Amino acid sequence: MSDLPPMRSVKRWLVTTNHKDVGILYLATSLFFLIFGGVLALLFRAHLWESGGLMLGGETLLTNDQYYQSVTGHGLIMVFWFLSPIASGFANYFVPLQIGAKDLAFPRLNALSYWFYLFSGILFIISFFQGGSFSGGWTMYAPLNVPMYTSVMEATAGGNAAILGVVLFCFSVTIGTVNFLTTMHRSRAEGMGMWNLPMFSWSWLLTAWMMLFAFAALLAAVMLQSIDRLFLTQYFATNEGSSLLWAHIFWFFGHPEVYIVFFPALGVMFEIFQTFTGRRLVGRKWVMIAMVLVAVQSFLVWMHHMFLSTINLPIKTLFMATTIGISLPFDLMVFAMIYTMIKGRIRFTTPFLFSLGALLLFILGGITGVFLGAVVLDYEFRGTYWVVAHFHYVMVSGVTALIGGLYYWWPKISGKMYSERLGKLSFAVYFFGFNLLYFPMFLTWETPRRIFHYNESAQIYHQLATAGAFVLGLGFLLVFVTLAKSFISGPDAPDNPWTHSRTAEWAIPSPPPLENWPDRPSYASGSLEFVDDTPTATDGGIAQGATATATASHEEEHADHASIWPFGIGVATFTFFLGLSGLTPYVYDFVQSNIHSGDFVTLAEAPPKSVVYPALTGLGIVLLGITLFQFGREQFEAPEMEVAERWPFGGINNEKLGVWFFLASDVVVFGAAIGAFVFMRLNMGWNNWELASITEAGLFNTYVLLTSSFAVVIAHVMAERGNKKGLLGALTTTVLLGFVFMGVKGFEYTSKFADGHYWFSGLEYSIYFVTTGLHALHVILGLLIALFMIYRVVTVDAYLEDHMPVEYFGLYWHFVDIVWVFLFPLFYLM
Amino acid sequence: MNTIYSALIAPMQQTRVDVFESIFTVFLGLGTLVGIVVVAYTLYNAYKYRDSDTADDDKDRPSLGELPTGGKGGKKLFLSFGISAVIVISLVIWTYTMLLYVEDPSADDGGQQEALEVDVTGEGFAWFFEYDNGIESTSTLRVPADQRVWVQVTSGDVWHTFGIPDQRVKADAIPGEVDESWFEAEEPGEYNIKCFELCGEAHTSMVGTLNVMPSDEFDSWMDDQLTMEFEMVDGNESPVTDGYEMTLEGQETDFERTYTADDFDENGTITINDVDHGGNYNVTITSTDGQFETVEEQFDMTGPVSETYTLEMNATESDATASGTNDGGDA
Repeated sequence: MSDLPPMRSVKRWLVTTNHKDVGILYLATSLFFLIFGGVLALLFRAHLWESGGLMLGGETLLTNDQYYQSVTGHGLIMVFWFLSPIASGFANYFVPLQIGAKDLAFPRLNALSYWFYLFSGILFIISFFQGGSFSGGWTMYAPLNVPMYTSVMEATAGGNAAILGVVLFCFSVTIGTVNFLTTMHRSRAEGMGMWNLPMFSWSWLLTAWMMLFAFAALLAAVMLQSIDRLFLTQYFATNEGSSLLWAHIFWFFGHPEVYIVFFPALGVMFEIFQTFTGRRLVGRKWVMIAMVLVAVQSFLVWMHHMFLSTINLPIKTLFMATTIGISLPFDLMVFAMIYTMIKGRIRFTTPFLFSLGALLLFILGGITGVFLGAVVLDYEFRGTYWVVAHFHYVMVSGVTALIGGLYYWWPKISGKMYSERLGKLSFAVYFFGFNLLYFPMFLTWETPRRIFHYNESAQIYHQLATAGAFVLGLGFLLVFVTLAKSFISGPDAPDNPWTHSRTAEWAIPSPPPLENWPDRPSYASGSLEFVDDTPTATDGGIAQGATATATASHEEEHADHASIWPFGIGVATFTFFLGLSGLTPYVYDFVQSNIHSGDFVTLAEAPPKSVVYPALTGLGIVLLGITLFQFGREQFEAPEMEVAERWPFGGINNEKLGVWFFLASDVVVFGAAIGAFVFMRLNMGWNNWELASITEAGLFNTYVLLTSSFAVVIAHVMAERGNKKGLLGALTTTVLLGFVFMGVKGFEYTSKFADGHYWFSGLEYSIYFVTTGLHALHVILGLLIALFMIYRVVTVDAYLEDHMPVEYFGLYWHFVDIVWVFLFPLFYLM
Repeated sequence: MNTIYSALIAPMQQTRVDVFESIFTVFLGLGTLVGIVVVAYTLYNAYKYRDSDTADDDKDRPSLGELPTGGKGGKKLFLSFGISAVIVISLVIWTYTMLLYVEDPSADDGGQQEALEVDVTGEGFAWFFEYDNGIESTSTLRVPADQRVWVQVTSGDVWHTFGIPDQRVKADAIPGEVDESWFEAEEPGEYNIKCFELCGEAHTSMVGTLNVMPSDEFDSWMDDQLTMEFEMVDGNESPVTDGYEMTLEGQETDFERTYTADDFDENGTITINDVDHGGNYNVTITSTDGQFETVEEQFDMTGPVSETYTLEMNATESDATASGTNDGGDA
């Protein structure tokens, strides 16, 4: 279907794939999670009013477990479900506008990434009601993050659900990243080279690049953790390197993550500074280069979170150097903004106040970060409120800038102006609350993190901070009130309420029409013009004009904007994950009745069983099958722009580029999984590894897979030639060989079971089953796709005209083969 | 200023507290100065270039639809970039020399006493300490003042972090890893030990006490820890004062001594002070006149030992049980 229901209907929001709608969905949902995460913070800040916990009528406000659930939930929700999604909301709405596109490259996938985000958040909220959510800190250190193996924390289905929520969130991000990278590299308006990207879009481009690799590492980490929690494998349960393994994988993600969270805010600041000073950004080229440097270097500093662990001195020195190094580009960016004010005509509108405030807060936060880079000081700051105060100053200064962005773009999105007086009031309360909350944390920096028993002398600072938290909360409330009042009764906004703004979103109505542009936007002449590409414009003539207009509007009709299947897949995946969260007690029973020999870590206890969970798991799988099938069958037109800047990806089309980006991310996931194997094996001594593997089976399977890859190549050739029978034959051969592979794998697994070696029988078997299992899962997914393709060839003669999908499948299948070529020697020959 | 001067010139032979204070003070001073200057400069410019009602004579302001490009004047960015690079890099190089000292302070001991070594294990919300000589204690760590103490830190369950804020020492306690650090306490007194990594539901109450004692007090405390007291009683719980020999054999040291009944006093007790190592000990009590069967017992000395052995004075039955308290260290 391509007709969108009107904005006031619920159905509209369930089926829309338009980037502006998806942007609004992201913004609204992220603000809801801001409130949720903020309320959790208010709870534990209130608890911190007295050392030992605030006493109310003889009992403390929170129990220990509730305190830790609040602290953990606050961190996870703010980092994952608020900060990146609100930036994603702005990016969804404005990046296509700023670059002159009509929508993202893959509109249905865009909707899907939103639904995965929403449902992952719902899963997280439900986790609080499943015996208690995860309470081991947002950093999820091992082995506390697998509480089935220790008695210091309760293992609940809610804990599982929380982690699975993060997994689902990673799926959302990966899809979104592939979408944005493809769009930004291939759908820029004519004349807009990479260097001409507006600063917000530039910062989002770098954010997406960082997300592609960082979130793949996080996905590996939380996936392994989930498998440990659900199936009782032992990646993070042992004292043979488990803790450090988690630390490395998590912080490899965790450090780029802080820039992922901050860059969009930085982009907003650059836009707002330029608009409200009436000046172009000073040193723009250098700023853009500095941001690229930070994006790359962000992957090279992670061990500064581990200075107190057992890494050696040369490594510490290296990471100290890279950490100090990364602070310097930020210095350049801060001064670029300051210099931009010089000779400006600064208007202190609400967006500018928030951005200027953000700059000041970031300067303070950044300076305190330099303290942390000096290793000797870090030794003492570790685990204290200095760290908490530092990262809140820098990260919440980012939030400050994003609130400024919300006011800046509000007129464009809603079509209404807000009251400047109310806006300024909200800023004043916000800024005062921010500093009242976080500055005392520096003064009481010696307080350890994540405790609520503190020295008497620290109490006044904690009480000031608690008061500040409520004032800051009031500040946010005032922001919402200002915007709500504007929405209900504010005056209509013009196309461009801001003098000296220059990006394309201000050249169209507020709010913009569905198709964004009256004609094709182009910067070919050096400034924005709308070019009429229809032949009437060039050829003239009324008769041709009529047909030409008919063709043009026929094309307009052809672009689809609605599909229910992204929502459907979201529901199905949510059901499946919710079901998974309660499987541990069943696996626990199975383990208890099958322990034979080998390394087995005794379990502390298992959560109570409920048959609802296996039922939901099964239902989820069925729903996934249905919705994915329908999604694949659906006719959905998302035409590529005919005229666009595409450097450096000019010679490749959107889908293929998307597949390559996806595979890049999958490479990092497998890299982390294989890296985990190498790390743990080195830790125990490479030759102490004991795993019985059937070399002949592995070798046979290698031949089978390579042959199946060859079959896929044949399939592609057949499709290109329009040879339906040949195509069917080749695809069927691929599928059959895939089944042989899985059959041999099944034989290998069952013979290990027969010997009493299960996935829970010690570290070596955990790693073997999970790594080969991850690969097998990719094979199964590939086979499902291939079967779908066979079905399509048989029913609708698919791929005979457009043979590209066979090539995309081939790329994926070859990737799966190459991964096996790495796994085979590692697990069978060494 | 004295600490800063001495820190700059001679980082050697300082405690971690001195090192930390000197670096922190410099960073704080410099950081505050830079912060104030930059913030003031920012606010000054924001005020100076505020919009006013006078006509704008700059015709080159950004306009809607122009292709995004930058402004002029990028070169002066490198001035501030250069200055901050110089400041930050010098600070880091300076602190790096301090880091080398902190990581390996023994290079310049110059006549220091031998350092004390303690194994620290964090487990289930408490801290457990074990000295080189086998003496253990829970939650309270006693050390002598003015002597370097090396801690070897690990965990018995999950990731903790051992820290004594007043001594500026901290080390991660990771299961399966041993993290080494040191401190030197100058002032006797009691100091807090806290946990700095979330380790479960009672992380907030995982505390301990560092008890810094003057050197001689520490030595006499340690002597007390290495004291054994034995009492011989018969089946009626009256003291036995003759007719036996007791051999005490250390399993982890060369210590082996035999004590005759004469060494015991009229209450059948003996106090042994000259043991210098804890750990496992075997006790063998043999009868010199065949009145009871040989008693063989074992204990693990982690603190003062006080054992009572019952010698069943019966020709046929020798039913010797050991009872008593083996003080596992102070709580």
